[in-house]
Amino acid sequence: MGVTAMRRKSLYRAVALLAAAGLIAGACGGSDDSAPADTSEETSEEAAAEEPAVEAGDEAEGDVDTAIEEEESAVNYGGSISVGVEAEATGLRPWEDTCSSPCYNMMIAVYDKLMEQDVNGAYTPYLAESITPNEDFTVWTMTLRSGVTFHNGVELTAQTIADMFLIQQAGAAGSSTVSAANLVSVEATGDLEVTYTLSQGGSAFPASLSRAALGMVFEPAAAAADSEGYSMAPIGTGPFVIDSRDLDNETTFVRNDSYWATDPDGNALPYLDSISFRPIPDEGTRLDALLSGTVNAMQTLRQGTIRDARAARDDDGAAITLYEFQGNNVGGGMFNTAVPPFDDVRVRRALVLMNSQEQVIEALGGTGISLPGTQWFSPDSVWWSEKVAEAWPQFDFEAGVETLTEYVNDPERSDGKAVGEPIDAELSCPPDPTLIASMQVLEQAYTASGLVNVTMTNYDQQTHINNALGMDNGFIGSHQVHCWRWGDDADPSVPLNPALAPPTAEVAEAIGLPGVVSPLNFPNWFSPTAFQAAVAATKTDDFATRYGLYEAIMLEIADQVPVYYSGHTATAIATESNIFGLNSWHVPSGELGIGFPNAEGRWSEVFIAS
Amino acid sequence: MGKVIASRLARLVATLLAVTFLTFSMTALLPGDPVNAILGVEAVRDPEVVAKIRADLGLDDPFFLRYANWLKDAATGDLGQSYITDQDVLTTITQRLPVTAQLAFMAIVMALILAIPIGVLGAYKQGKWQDSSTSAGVQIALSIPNFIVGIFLIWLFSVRLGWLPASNWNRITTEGLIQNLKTAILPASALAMTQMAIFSRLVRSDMIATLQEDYILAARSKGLSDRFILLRHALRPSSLSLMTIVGINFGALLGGTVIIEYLFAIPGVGFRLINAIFQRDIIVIQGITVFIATAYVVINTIVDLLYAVVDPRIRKG
Amino acid sequence: MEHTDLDNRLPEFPRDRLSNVSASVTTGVDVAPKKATFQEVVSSMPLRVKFASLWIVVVVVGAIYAKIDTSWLGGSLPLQDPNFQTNGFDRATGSFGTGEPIEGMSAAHWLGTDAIARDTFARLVHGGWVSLVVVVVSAACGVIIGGFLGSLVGFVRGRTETVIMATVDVILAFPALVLLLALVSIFEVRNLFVISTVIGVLSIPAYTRVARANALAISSRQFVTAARAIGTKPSRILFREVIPNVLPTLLAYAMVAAAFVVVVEGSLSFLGLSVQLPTPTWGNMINQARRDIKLNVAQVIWPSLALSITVLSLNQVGDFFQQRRAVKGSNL
Repeated sequence: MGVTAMRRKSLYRAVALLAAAGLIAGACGGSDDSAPADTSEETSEEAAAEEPAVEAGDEAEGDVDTAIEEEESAVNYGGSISVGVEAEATGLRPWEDTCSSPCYNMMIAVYDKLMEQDVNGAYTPYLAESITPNEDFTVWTMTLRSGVTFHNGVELTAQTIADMFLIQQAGAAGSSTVSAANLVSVEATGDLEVTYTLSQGGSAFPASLSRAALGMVFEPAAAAADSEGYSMAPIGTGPFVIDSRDLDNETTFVRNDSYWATDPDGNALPYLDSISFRPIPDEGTRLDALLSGTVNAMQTLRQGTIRDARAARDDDGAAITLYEFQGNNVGGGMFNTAVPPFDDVRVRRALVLMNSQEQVIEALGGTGISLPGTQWFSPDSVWWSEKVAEAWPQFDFEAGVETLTEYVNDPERSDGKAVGEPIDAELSCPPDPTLIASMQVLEQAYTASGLVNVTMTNYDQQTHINNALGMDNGFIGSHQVHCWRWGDDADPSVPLNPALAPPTAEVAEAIGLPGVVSPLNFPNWFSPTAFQAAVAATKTDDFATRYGLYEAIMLEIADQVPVYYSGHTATAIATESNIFGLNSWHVPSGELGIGFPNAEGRWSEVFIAS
Repeated sequence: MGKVIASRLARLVATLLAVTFLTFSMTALLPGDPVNAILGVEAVRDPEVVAKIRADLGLDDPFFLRYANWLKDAATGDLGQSYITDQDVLTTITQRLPVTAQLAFMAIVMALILAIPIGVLGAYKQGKWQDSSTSAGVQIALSIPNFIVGIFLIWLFSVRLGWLPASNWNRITTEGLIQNLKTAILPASALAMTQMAIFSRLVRSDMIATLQEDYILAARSKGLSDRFILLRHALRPSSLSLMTIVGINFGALLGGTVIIEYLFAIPGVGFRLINAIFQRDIIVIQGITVFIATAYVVINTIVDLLYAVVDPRIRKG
Repeated sequence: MEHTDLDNRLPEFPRDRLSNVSASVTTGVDVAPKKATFQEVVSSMPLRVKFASLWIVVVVVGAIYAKIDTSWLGGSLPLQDPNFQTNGFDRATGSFGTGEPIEGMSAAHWLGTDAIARDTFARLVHGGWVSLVVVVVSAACGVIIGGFLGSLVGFVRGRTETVIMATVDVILAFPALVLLLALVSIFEVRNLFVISTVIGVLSIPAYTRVARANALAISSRQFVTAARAIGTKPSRILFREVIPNVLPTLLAYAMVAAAFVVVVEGSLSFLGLSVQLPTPTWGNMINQARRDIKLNVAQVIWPSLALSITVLSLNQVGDFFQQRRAVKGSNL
């Protein structure tokens, strides 16, 4: 019906898409792009190794190690692999379809991104050849690689990128990234030279070009002609070409014989003849499918599945390799600070003190797999701060009861109840068994205090987001204690800026910034200092300055606790043990790539050992 | 005969009208603005999209006009388009129907293969241990919900024994019959169990009734062999009612495979329906519901008509 | 043969049993049937039906017991909190006390514990409550509304009958589970009230049809025609003669329908579309335990057994009462 084509930029455009991304992430913990991989279980200094050690250990294959490193097995051409993923992609259009890990795995087979991250987490050109900013980071000039063609034979030029922008602006996924990046125009200023202009300087702009919505290069003429058809038959410049797409069953890609990239030795890529993806929603079934050879690899965002896969490998001797990754984001939830009693910091702090992260992670099945969160960055991230980790309120049930008692006995208590009466709290998570288990741990602790009347609800994801978004009550939302996921593997500015902006028009007006409203400030918590720090961090690319600003923001969050944390996302790709290359692909500079963040593989250098 | 067909067809049309009306009314039952329900968060994004959907659905028209328009579209095969995946609903259904139909068909065939011998044995040995033990088995089979059967089939044949894949679907067209059967056998078995119980109960009770008829007694007194009597004289009258229930249950299974498709991740109509429900994809829920109900009603009418053709008592009137 | 009567087909609802139901009133002498005593009924039960009845009684008593406050018994019949970690909450560590997740059977936890260390036995007993409420509400809706409508139209006939039966036919034209799924998907909040009401409303048509078939037969019998002949008011005949005679058949049908309703609720729970958590139901227990089936298959087996045995028992008892109606009808 052509709805897609009709979409135009609008004020709230950003809301839905980022919200949707947060939601999907909230339920399953995936998101785009990432930081260096690491799955060491200790937060101590030893974990800060440059090349994170991933516990591997498949005795049958000798010392297989999934740390990111040069592959020592001889590469091998040919063969096909089948990958079990947790869900079907709603579509394969980067500008339109909000994508979590499963769909990213498919899209990255077809599309190349302009920028990628290397093993150190630095943004480096991929399909682009170079990118340079002006002084105040408002104009970025990018040069494209030459001689690259799309699967349909069309050549990649600067004009392609400019044409893409028109579609991205109108697209559901693209529009939010465009506005988050303050991107106002994209012009072809040469055959291969593209100029990006931003309304506000953003030192982290290359991060946006490594995200699916803005960074994946598609063929704009074909996309404009038939958006829905494109979803079934995507056209990119990537290592694989779509062969067939059988929804909810199997999507197959075959080798792109004229792929531009080579491995560091100059051999043509990709190695595989074909790769297919099969959605298997049930976690246990998906692992069974790998163990029984129904699929050759699988992706998971669940600690419980990683636990079972480890057991299968270590106890049952299954010949699989596990590529684990600790995401640079943290599960947990938020308090709606616009709703009493959660407007009172004592209540929020009390509920955080009563929240045993250890027990929550246990319920998530992530003990020994997922690290407890204290901030939006994982201990492996360059942004992680020891100071914040110490500042985050650790579990102390009695202290929590004491704090909450103080509120409950306060004659001025904000929820208007009589002195001594328990507070009411509605806990809500999407209906995923793992999240529900973790929510019930909270419920038990709160109930045990005798100071909280807990109710629990589960709404489907759409409704869960809607409740937090609150489009019918001025973006305040109807949520109270709400499952959510914080952080993002992209630059900190990407998740933080919209989350710290004024939540409502009234707040924006009060601070003299009318119109700067972010419906994505879901906890409705606004701190002028935190917001200013977040803005300031996008005006400089000096790491030390930015680190200090983000640390200050995280310290304020630890003090005011508008959000709470469980563990960092543990993700994994598990493969049969003769499949190599997920941890040893390269960016064009010859440097190793970032690996397998959030169970998102790069498939071009994957091969089956003979 | 013509009168019978005409009246059955008239009833079919009336029922279909009512069924479509009921399904269509679902959107009217939605709490709040249907656009919000249909678009979810996206509703805040773009007044133009909202306006377009209001126009598409004719939300500002009177209810009955909307129904008439929707029915007109539905009659030409336009069941609308998912606002989440942008996919045409009818295309979605037709792509998935063969999978669901194959499952239903296999389940029925497997059930019949087991049910007829069990039913005949029960009737022939009525009251003896063969009868009571098969009856007990049938009772148990009838009482275990199919998703429980499915879970334990996966647990046994995929997890413990590793003989069969635990999920997914290999299409005959691309992977061949053997690979297809490997993925189809477990879910079809889970579905077949209840059907087997229903069929064998029917065969047994029918045959018990038939075996008491005069002509059977006459055949016995003529010294015809038991096997001959059972298969030739007793089973045949029963097969008519058996075929009726097979036809009806095939129709019912088109909607009854939902949980099994979900459990085994099989790309059939039911799996799509469940996903649509989880995504609150109202247009798809509506389209699939109306399709399944229509298929069911149409199959029932066909069975009725065939029955009228075969059975002279009904043909008369 | 009764099941060849195509008008009596009840889609999805256990239609192959209906033959017995209508058979019960098609034969016999025309006097109002006499009531059997409780002892007569029980003594005529085969052993398996006795066991089945016993199981149903145990489930019902357990579910009700689980719901009432038993502290006045001094904790003499303890049942652990189904939604709470076992052995209390350790305030120092926030841990589950001595209960471990996914524990095996033990004296402290007869059937072990689930993934967050809740007592499986307690959850199983509590799980019966949702099934019980859904069954009772659906039977009440069916017997009261469906029974009244069916008796009415079977007795007065005419246009009312045409309209009501046409509506019934339409609702029965939907495969029950699909219609149910479509309906519950509309509700944002799914509590016990919503679920049991939806299932209850959807139960009405099947009962209406059964009631009508029986009312039709009863209306033509001598004790009814006699009452008409002596000028008794139709409403009095309906309430004094027709409905009381339809009722036992409906109640027998309710047992069989209950088995179906239990399966339907279990299916919804299994899909996560029934009542909100943490309320335990057998279906959601199965779904949650399925995640850890590799660690402990027993946690899937217990709720599966509870569900299946309950359905089996309801079928046994339902069949028994239906056959009894049939036999009584023909013996009278």
